[in-house]
Amino acid sequence: MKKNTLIYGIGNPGRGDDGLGFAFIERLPIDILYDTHCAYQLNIEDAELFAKYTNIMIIDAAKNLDTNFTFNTVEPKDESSFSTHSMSVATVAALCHNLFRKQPKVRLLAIKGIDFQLKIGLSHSANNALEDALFWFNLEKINILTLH
Amino acid sequence: MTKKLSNKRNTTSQEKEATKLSTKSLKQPNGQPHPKVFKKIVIDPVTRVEGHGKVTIHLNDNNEIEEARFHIVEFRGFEKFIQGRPYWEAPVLVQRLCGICPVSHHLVAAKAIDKIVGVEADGLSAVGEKMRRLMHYGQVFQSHALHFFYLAAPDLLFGFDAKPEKRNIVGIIQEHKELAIRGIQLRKFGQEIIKATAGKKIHGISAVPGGIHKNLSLDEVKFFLDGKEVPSVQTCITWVEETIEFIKDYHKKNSHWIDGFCDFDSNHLSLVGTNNELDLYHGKLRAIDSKGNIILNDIDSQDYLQYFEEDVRSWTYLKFPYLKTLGPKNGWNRVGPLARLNVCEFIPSPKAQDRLEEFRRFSGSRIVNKSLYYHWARLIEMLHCAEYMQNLLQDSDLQSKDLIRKGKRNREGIGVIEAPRGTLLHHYTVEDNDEISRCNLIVSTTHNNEAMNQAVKLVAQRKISGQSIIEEGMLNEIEVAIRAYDPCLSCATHAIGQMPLHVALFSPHGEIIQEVHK
Repeated sequence: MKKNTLIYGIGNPGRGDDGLGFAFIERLPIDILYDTHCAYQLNIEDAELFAKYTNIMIIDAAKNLDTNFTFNTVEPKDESSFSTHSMSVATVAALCHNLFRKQPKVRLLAIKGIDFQLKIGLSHSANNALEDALFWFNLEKINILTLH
Repeated sequence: MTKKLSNKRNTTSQEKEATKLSTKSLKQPNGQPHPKVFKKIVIDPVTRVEGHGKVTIHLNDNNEIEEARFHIVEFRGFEKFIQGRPYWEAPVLVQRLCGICPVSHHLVAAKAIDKIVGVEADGLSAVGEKMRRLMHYGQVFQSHALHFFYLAAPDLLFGFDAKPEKRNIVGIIQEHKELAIRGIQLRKFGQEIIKATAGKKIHGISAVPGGIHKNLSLDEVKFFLDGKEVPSVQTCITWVEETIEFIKDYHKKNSHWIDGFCDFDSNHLSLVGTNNELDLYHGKLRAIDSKGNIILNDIDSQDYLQYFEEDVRSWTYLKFPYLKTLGPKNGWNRVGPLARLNVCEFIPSPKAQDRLEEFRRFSGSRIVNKSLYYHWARLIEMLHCAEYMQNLLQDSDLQSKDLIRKGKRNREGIGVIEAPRGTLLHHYTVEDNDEISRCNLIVSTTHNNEAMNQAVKLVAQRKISGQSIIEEGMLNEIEVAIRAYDPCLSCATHAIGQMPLHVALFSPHGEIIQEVHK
């Protein structure tokens, strides 16, 4: 059965709390309602991946959050400033529309990290934030996956 | 008094932040003005290349080029910190020096470590070698697609002096949507081949000492043939052929300047197969001069130390390899797609061979020394890779379970492979306790160092020398010259956060005035 939702973790697990995206995906059970994917960063090819779904949820680590996590809709945005190696979620969403005429709903779950140095493993604080985000996701899962 | 240069460089907001274009009189270490007045133009960073480098151009009082250099400003230390690690980690560890061509490092390290575990190149199982080859050809295919469609095409489609905010992949997407989609999908095909063979798209893990960790299932084969999730391999062949038609037509229309753009004599180096064919995975090392005379006659890669040395210069972290017999001045080689097509006698796949013959007819000479022909050569290699993958995907050996071979343990292992950007060599020495005690890497872009510097100087002399006004398009031509070689600067230097750094300050006469160790 074709799945409509992609949950996509980004970050570098070799840079401490930057691994939050991967860690979130690792904790998700296999589900018939969504696909999961992980990468170090978004790039141009991801526009084509986005086009295959109607619902995209990006998981990324974030600095300087007032809360343990935030969940927001990302609007497509054409940016003249870019790198072929690393693109913003908004830019990839815009490319998806420009190239493939698809406009999935794209939302970003940003989880608070504090330590981004070279090491494998999350800080105690990031682990707590991850647990809060997962708890919230399990409560809100039906709404998220049905685009509410 | 020096004439004041007017420098107009239209930049995007990103380039404004990152690109410094400065002219200044050089000073001596004591702070006094240098007796010979120079001005300096800096292009930093060079854009649309992999990694970070800069160009400096020194002008005299008459705005003539005194010196033009391509500097690599990254520093890496993989040869050092691999020391003390167990040898079986080399294929997965050393590839971390690059996120663009890690497969090449993964495979060449595996080839070197095969020797350590006593397995010769012809001692791998059929599935071991063929899975590695499929991985490698998928890698070259996606790397070439990235370079042509994302990095080079904006120059070709919009012109060197087009506005920088247009001259990029986003510009391609806006004005040439179908081409952009093809580029993305061709690259995706190669990346999916890598994922299927190496386990992951980046930093795969399948090549292990003596063989391969997995075979290819029939379901995985079907994925690449049915055209549902990715374009079928046959579609890839068709698209690449159409792109070759584009580049051929581009050359026809623009030969009046392409042929003279960075056309200079050099040697060319690559691996060739046993029948003198193009072989990207294994073969003998051969070098030819600018006329096609063989100057390095099919040596075994294990003997490379007898033939190659590396020169170092104070202004760059990138070394300058050369053939010992000819010395640093005459012994340097170009590598990569153009060099490979010059060195090989033929391509063992029919459509690519036809295209090679067409390429040679068009260029008018058997050996092509014109830098911009790299793009055309790269596309011919893409076609070869697609045909090669099509054959391999239909080979039942890929479903064999005879994955790993073993032999008698050795202390030393050398591996050579033709990476997307040229000849890549890894050399390891391993102690009895299985720890790596020595590692040397000669990376493709390193071989092209002298060629890129020559290209920079040629364009600077032709476009900038004597000009009172330096336009952005002139500077982009310097970048175009470098881009033709598709340098991978992060591979070629050897940064890890807190590496020891030695800074030496030299007098104009080359004497060390001050040294700082960090």
